[in-house]
Amino acid sequence: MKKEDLIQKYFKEVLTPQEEKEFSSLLENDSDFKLEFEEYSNLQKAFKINEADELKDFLKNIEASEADIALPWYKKQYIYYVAAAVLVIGLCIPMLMKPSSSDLYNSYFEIYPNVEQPVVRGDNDNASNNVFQAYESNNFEKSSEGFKALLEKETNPNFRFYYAMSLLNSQKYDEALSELNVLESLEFDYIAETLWYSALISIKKEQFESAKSYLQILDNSNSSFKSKERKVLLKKL
Amino acid sequence: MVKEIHEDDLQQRLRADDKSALELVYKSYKSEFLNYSKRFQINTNETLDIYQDAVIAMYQNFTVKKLELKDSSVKTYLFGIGKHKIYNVLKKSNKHLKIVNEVEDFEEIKVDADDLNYYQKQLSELLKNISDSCKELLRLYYYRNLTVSEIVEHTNYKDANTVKSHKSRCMKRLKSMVRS
Repeated sequence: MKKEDLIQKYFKEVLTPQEEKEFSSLLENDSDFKLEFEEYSNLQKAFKINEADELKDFLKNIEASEADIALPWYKKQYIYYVAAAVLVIGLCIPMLMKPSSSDLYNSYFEIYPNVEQPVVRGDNDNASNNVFQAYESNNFEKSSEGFKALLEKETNPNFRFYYAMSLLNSQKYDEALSELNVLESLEFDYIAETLWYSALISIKKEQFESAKSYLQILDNSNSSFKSKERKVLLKKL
Repeated sequence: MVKEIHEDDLQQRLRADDKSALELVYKSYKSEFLNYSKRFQINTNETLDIYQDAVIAMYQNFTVKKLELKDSSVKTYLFGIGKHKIYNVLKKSNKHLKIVNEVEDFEEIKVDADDLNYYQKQLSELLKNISDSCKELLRLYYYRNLTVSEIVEHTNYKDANTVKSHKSRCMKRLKSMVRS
């Protein structure tokens, strides 16, 4: 019998008594045979461990799929992922559908510039010049007081508009809105702006219906002020 | 399910390295083995692991040694190995002596320890990285103990000489990897 067959038979544990004798004798006396046997043995052990690892994974997979089938739906692991996904989507939909009032306000609000009275530096004698200078310097506390004082002397709708803007820029939303309300029915330079900022303050106060009506009035006017923005904003409300 | 198992057919499939037969055995006797292991003072978390190791040892004895059970069934053989594995765990936790004489249902079947020496560990890693065709050929020869003519029968090699020359090239490659 060939040596390699003898070795394979040994590992299959099928050597006949006679073959066993032959095998033992070769192992003792034939160094090549001994080397071949040892090589076979080493390779078999190495393969056996690798195979055992793969078989373990195979059985673990069976176990995992059985566990999954056996569990009621509410105990299945993926249900947590589904629940998490539903929660995330649930949280996102209102955000996508209707942005928060603050977000909407912040994304559309910008300080209205002084276009009424260009400031003449050094002209300290002109009271309104000083007030508009304060407004331009973002000193809205000072400009609020200034416009209030000016309005006491003169009922100028343009001053009232900038008074309202000064209040708004100082985050005094209610006071700003009540000043704008005075201006809404007037025909004056900043009527479109008045309606726009009234709408924004309404949004900030989550009074979306009144915000809509301000924007609709603005839409019906011929003003081109914020024409794109107000259309987009109307759709979002 | 267990009643449907045809013993000879099952053993033949196990010898032929048929994974569906492995799955059948694993599923058929699992609950019975887990139940059986309750009589030992053993952590229930460990019993599934022990069962899996016992199934693997049983399967490897069929695929490697071409085991033929004449006076025993696959189940008895599996439980014998399982018992041996349970005893090993108990020995480690010094509980073995308490129960060793109490349970005489299944004959304990000892299986080879899986300890590898340094060289064998090195081989085990290298065999994972060798080409797929070499791995499969060497696996059939050294692990499944198939003769060259059996390999020709089971594969697409055209004849014994092709198998021999490929095997020889694969061994050279493996040895060069060991040296490097």
